Amino acid sequence: MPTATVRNKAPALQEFERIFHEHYGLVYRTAYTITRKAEDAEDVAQTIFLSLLRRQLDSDAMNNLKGYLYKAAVNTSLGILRSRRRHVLLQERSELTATPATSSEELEAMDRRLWAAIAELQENASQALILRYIHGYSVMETARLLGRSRSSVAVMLFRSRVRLRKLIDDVEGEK
Amino acid sequence: MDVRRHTGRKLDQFFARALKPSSEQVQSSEDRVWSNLRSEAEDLPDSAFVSISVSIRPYRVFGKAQWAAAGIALAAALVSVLVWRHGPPFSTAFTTSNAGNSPMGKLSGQRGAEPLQLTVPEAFEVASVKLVPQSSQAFQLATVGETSQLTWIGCPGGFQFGRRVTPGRLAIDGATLLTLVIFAYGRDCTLVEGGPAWARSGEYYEIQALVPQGTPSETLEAFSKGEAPRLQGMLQTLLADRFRLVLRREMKEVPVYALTVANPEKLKLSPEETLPLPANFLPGLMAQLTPNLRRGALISAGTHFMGHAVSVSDLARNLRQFAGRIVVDKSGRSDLFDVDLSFAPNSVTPTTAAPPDQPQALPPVPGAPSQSGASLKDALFEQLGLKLEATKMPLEVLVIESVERPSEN
Repeated sequence: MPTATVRNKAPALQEFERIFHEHYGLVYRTAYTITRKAEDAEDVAQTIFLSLLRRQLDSDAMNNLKGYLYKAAVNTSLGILRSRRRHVLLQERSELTATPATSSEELEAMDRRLWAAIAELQENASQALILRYIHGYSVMETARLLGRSRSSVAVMLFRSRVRLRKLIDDVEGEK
Repeated sequence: MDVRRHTGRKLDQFFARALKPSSEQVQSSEDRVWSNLRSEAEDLPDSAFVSISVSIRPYRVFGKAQWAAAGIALAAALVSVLVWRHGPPFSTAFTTSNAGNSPMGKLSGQRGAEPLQLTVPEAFEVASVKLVPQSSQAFQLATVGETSQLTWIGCPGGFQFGRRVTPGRLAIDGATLLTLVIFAYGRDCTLVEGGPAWARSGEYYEIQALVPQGTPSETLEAFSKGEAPRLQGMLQTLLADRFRLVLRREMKEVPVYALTVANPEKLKLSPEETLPLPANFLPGLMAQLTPNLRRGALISAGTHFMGHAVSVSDLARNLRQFAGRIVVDKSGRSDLFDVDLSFAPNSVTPTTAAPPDQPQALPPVPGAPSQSGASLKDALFEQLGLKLEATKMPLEVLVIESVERPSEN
């Protein structure tokens, strides 16, 4: 009979390597999209896989490892965004007093504000939003990955879109 | 409307602008991080690796018969591969028979031309199907369930108790083939027709099944709402495999109630996480066990409904048994609200049951005023601003073309 648990380092490392290569792409892409910096994305991915290597996961996390790693990628990356928030606000203030912005600068400023708003959404909502609209997963796939029902994900997406649309309205009203 | 469309388009453009790394960028980052992690991992003590073990743990099922379980799992995998390669037996039925005989038949034929949505073979890892003996308690309970379902809904299948969904496992204590089809396809019982008498009533099967490891877990609540696609897909495969079930899809005009919003002001949502239930709403011990309603919960005590943060479609699904027909959510609302709805018990008339294979007699529209309170229709209008209207709607009906008693485990 096969042994119930792996107690040797070599096979465990092999298993970890398989998990790493299987999921690195999703974790890195998610982190890169949110942080918009290659070095930050790499830091996020390394931190997540290092903690995976060191900690004991419960069976729920192991049953949906992809979902677990994806959520960790979103949460860690949004944490970085939030810590940048103060800096961004200062930058935005200086932009307001500077010469009129070009359209690409306006877009950049709009993107920053939308990302900041996504960082302020509930964890589940931002996770669902990125999976659905950036990675292009269907509502059903998003629900499966996040371990939620399709209807609750649909409601979250709808509400999040309403909030973001309102933000766009406000920004355009300020112009 | 134009402003909404404009901001919606802007938002879509924002998502489309999101930065995405190239494959080369991902690959080079992956190589770099892996070389860092590998050296980190090699420095960790052996004891640190005990935890990464779950994915190779074998299931211990049905006592000590691991070898038998492994054999059955292998057989199930082979069957599912065969089903996947050659198409499940019911796929042929979709292209058959009366397509073209009538306008409805034509619709059925058009659907039949669609490819089956089963792209990945979904099957239980191990499944046991047993006929429930008449002397057992499960048989008695199933009989009670069937009778009450027949009384209130007008057809015997789809009774709700005796099911458990736990992580990695589905258990059904006793259900007819009709009920299993209803669970597997998430249909109202009036939308499943045909089949021999034994398949519709009086013969119950116990299902014990293990879900393959790594399958995202689904809840009993989702399964009950027909929103557990993996579990339902596995049950569909089991029915096709063990019962040789062949189904045909048809579109039919079905009498339904449409639930629409008449007064949106009355639909409100409390921001609280939980709402206390009124005193005496539930009797005795049940009141102690359920003092509050969590978000998403909808419970009824007789003809009094309380719900917190539920959708109109949740309410429509729950009203079905009191309305006597399928209630279709036509509100166009996907947001959530609180429900406190009570109506007179005598405004609801149980359906007179028809023989299993015959179309069911429709109950009277529950709109007539009663002496002891508002009818369901009036109560919905007055208390929640919702309108219940009788109408007909084309809905997809599943017809059991053929079915056999299950093969041995």
